[in-house]
Amino acid sequence: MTAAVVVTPVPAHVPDHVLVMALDGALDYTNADRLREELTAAVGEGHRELLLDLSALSFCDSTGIRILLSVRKLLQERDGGVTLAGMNPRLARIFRTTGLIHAFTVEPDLTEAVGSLNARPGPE
Amino acid sequence: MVDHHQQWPITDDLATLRDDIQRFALAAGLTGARLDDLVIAANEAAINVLEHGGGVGTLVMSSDGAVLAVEVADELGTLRPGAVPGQRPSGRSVRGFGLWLMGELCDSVTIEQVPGRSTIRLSMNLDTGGPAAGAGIAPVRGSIHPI
Repeated sequence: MTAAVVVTPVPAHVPDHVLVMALDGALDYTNADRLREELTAAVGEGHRELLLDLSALSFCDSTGIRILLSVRKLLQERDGGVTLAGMNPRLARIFRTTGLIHAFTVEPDLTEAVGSLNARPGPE
Repeated sequence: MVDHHQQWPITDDLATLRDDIQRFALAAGLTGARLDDLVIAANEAAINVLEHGGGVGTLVMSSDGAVLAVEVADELGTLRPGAVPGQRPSGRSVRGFGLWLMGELCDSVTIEQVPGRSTIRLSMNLDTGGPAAGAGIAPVRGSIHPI
């Protein structure tokens, strides 16, 4: 069976400019393009922060990281960014080794990530 | 005891391939972060075949008890020895990025090129210095492990 990655919206008490989504499955070369389309479509005009719950994501390769970087670029143009929450050790390993962990805000889990985003000053 | 040699075709079913790699590596004695490293690196080598190596290839795993090796061969043969960058490539050099990552994660990465075929060999030294039971394993070129 080909790797599948499913994106679902996550209900969370966050400001309107924050989009919260969860990734479930494995993000790799075979499904990265589709994920890019789904994530880009989910980001609305009013969003400038994306919080991704990765606690159910078992794997991410370099292609997957590129997709996350492209979404980050979109949000950076709005002075926002991407927060990654709940990475497993294998995910953390590839993000650290590539040095690309610094391109994202990393939180141990969704609850902490929501807390941090709520504590930040909102958009003007 | 694990089979000392096993091979799989590279297809777009990378998830199953990763499971196979993980199973073999675990049985060979690789665990923890180094197991993660090998699975990530071997997956990158397989992507390389799908994306740049003509789309057809084979992944072979072998273990002699001291070294666990993954050999990923394409059927294009454009990848040259010495193509592994020493520093992280910047910009959009995607193939170089995967190769660089393999070099960061594995104890040794070598590339062998013959007409119509390039083979990336990733190797990990195993902690357990058991007897080299796997006969017929080629010496690891460029490895720090004594032959």
